[in-house]
Amino acid sequence: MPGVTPVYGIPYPCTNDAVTVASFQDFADAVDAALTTLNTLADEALTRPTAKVFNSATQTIVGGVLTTAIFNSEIWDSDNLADLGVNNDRFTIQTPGTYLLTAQTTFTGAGALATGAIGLSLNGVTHYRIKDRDGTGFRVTVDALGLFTCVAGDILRATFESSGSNADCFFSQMSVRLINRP
Amino acid sequence: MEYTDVYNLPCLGEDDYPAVALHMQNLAELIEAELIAQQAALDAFLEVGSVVWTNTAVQVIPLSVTPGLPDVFERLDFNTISAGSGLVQPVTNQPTLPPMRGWFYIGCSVNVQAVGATTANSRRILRVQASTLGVDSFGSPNPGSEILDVFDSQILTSSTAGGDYLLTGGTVYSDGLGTYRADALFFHDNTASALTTTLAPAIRLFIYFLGDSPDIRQVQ
Repeated sequence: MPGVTPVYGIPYPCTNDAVTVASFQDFADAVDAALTTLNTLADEALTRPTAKVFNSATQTIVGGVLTTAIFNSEIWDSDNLADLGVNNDRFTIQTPGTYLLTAQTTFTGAGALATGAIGLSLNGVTHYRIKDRDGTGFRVTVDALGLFTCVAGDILRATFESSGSNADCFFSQMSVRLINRP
Repeated sequence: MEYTDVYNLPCLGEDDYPAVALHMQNLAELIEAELIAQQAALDAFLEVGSVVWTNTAVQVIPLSVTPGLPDVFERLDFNTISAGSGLVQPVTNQPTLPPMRGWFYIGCSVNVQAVGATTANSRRILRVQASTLGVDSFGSPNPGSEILDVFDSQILTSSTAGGDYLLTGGTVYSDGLGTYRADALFFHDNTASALTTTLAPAIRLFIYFLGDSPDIRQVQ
């Protein structure tokens, strides 16, 4: 009766066992399986789910109205987080875990712009918001970031809002990265 | 007996064939030990850890304007861990950096509204600070505190609609030897009324571990 190692189950013949060709094959197969398991982990570490989307077009928003940010190009996407052809406003989580979500845009007021604000939401509920104003009253660039613990299917989005004036949002971008597994 | 160059795994020699079973067991155990070490390293890399605190109650930030410096900050309260995993946080209403060496990102987001009237162009400042002993009830560092780092965000209020939202943060290094508080502090000079935090969106303070680092030596 061969013995096995406790974690990966690598089989080895005991002292009174006959050592055959099959003994070496079983040994090699078990090592191969264990290395495959580790390779999966290594791939996960090296290709940690992450994505970034960008909007090369101008998004016009109405002053005082919370507006969902939209995007038209994927910069990178390692986990099918974005599908802009279907939904151009979101990341859909595929791998559970805690994610860092960031968003940025530059608001340019149609008139005197009072403030520009970004919100970050999980399934429609805003978790983080930041508002800023610029001394010139016409342009302000805002950055936001926050952590979200997600399950598969959760939706992460950004919202834009201006006050004092309608605004055009330029150079909008949003990125997401898995920070840690559940 | 011969050994491989890197992991020092044994290879049978001509005299070892009578003990081939024993050698295979030895080899299996050595391979497994190396595999376990590599899996532990990968698991640690993939589970670096994060935590998000929030407060289930609103907090009034009273009128506490001081003429000139120092500005008086109010410490914001937290009573619940709402997200994240993998970082040890024994005291949920007193955010701390975990007792481990390395780089951390700490950040905070808060939405505040005036209880009454709004003072035009009055300041709201959100400060995130990591320190050894935290701050007293007036937001000043306790005597003997070592401040690791401070991050500020300020907005001059222009409208009461929806209040003002602030978010700030940055990277701090902890030697893992002390207990470092992670405090969110708030200052305003809205002389017309106090401010209050809101529940939607809720105040949030978050920390995530960026990675370990060898000892840092300051170059003179």
